[in-house]
Amino acid sequence: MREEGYISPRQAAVLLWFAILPTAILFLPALLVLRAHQDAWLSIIVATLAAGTVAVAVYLLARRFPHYTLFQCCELILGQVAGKAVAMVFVLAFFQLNAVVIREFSEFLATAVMPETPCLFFSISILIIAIYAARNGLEVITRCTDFILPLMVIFIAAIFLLAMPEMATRHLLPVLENGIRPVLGGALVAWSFLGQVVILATYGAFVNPPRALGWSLITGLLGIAFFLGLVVMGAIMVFGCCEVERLTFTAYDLAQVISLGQFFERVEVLFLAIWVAGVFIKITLNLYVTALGLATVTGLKEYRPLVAPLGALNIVMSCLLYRNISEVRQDLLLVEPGWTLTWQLGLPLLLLVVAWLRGKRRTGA
Amino acid sequence: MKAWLRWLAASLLLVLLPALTAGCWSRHEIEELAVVGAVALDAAPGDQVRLSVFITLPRAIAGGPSMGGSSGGAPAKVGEVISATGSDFAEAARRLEELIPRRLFWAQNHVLIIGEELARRGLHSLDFFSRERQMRLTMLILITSGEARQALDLPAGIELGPGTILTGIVRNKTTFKVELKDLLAMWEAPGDNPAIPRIVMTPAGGQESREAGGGGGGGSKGGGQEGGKKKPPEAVAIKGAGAFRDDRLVGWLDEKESNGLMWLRGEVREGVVTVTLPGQGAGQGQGGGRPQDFPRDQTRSQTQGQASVIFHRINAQTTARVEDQQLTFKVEIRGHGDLMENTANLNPDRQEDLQAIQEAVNREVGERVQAVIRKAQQELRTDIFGCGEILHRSNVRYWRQVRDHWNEEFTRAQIQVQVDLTLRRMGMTNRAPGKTGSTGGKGATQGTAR
Repeated sequence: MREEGYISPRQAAVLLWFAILPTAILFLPALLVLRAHQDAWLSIIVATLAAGTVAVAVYLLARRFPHYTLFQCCELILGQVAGKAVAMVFVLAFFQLNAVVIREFSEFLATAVMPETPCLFFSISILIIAIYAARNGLEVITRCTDFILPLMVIFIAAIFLLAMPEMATRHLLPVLENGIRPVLGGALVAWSFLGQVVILATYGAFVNPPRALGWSLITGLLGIAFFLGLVVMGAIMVFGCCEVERLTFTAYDLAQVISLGQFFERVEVLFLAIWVAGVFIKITLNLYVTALGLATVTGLKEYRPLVAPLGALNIVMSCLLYRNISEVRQDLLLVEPGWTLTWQLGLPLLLLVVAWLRGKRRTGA
Repeated sequence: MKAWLRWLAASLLLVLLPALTAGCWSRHEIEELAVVGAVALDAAPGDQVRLSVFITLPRAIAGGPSMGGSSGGAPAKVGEVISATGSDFAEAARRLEELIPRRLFWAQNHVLIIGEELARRGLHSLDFFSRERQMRLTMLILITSGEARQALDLPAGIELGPGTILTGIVRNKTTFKVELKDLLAMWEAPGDNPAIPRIVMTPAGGQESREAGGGGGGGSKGGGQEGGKKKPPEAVAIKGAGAFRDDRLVGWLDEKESNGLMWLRGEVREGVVTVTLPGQGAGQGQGGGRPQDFPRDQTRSQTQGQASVIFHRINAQTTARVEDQQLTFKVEIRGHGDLMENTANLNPDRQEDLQAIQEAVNREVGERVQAVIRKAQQELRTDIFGCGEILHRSNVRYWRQVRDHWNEEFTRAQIQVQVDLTLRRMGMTNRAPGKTGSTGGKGATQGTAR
């Protein structure tokens, strides 16, 4: 189905940041350092290049089918039955991804700030807002980012700058201590986050002009790599790589060490507030994409009726997915890389190859 | 119909909003909190631990320092100290909450004091303090010989609670600073061992003689424990350090050695070096640099004197080199200092005299660094300098061979120290008052251009 309204390439890039960064800066660094140790920053570079292949696939798809969402492309390329099946895989993948994000969100809040509050309360309250925002459409979500983006960017930069007195570049040495393998292992973990740029293939259909999508992808991906690198390197330089491995919520701990003249301390609560705003965008966007996809597959005219039920199911899914936080981390470390490799890179490439073989394109539409 | 529903939803939201935004589950009103101001950890018999906390009494703080109070000038008590034992600190903390009518609130705690016995058992019990969400990673870690709980009984002075007293002293930068995150990093790194600044407490004397112990000046080295087991300590000083091997306390560094450690690790901020100088000219080959406690000779006091130099920041660079299985570390210490005091018959306006002070300072710093190296290599047999990490960074292949028995390997390593400190400024005056700057009389008295 089509939705009215367009977003600019800049807004698309910003949405891409929000689709990845919020949970990535919190959960990823510890896992990345666990694999790659002090070479985590190299892993980010490798993972960015790897995620670049996804971006290229997304871009080429968008060039062949401008103004068509990923879900519509599936049907156009593979025919009705197979197309719907593949589109459904994407829908389920985004649905599952959103469940993971919701779980990460509530686990973090319960661990770091409000242990007495039931986990479910966090998920329900953020989903209520997310459902409301997602029903209002992409333009509204985008406009939310206009407000949250400066906060997010300024705050990540501020954390890095203010933690600088505690940093020592020597923690980044030696480079490539155990050869390239740990770097690649870390890149695989980082990849499962960065590969989410595939989401641009869905809402990218509403970017105007469509040819600027490449620019959105590049700035989006580079921005993500930059901020992720800032947090990871900041954490390694402050704590040393042995210690970062132990910290479950790295960015939060980084905010904790800031101490400016004995009074500007404990800014991590501020971080928390801004982070929640970022996660809100991420959850809303995923929810919107899932609803949009399901509406396409089922041939509905509107995606709006699907948003609330999908959100409710998402909460249930997020509770059922893991038994404890250790499973969340194990999943991100061991399972997600393989799974995301399949649906974020494998499937788009498959679509692209089939489209090329069958000579399908919808240019000039 | 539609409008009616909308109104209903809006009013429902309005009712729900105040209930939800206040955070109904995890709220903790400040009246329900016992704010922890300082923590002391001790070992207890039977492999147990004892957790002591200083709880700030809000009434005493809010009332201001009650100077006009009835208790004869002594400021009112601003907190109470309670302890509980348990098999770990979480259990002990829970037991503390059996004793007080409020919930413990850790987030305001800035100081963690570790008792000697617990430190000798090992730091592994510190997990609670990095896992609990309220804890600050920036809390100061201090160590004391004997019982850590005693430090919480410090009498109120300029500052009221032991937490503010101890953080205040550390902020004076006379000693190095170890925060929880630093301790964890030193402990976790395979080529590093923690060293923690030490609190020395002076026991209460017979009567109220505050001047006697005030400031904790001279040699009260660890003597605080025998006398004042029950009495609260009179005064406190932070000097010296406890050295660890892996996570266990193995010995103490005295003031000179811990100062050497600061120089070696490049952690000197506002470090003052005092040297004794022979008065006559640029004392070449006269063995000028003596520690400050060199016995003063009345007859030579005319010519002999002291000079103190302050270094606001220094740069210490350690490099590792391996040649035929002989491991050598080279420490280069560089920095610029300002003259703080000069009672010697030297005129720092003259380059020779300036050089003399500079050389003496270099020699003195070198001695301090050598002292701590000797202690760490021969007596304590632990790498508190982080040399292993330096080797790790520069020579991974060799590091892999020695990683598992690094502390033994460290004792065999050669450490060369090169001190290159320069005197750059001399304060607001040049020669000392009443001194002529003898040898170069003319130049000293008249040649003072600026």
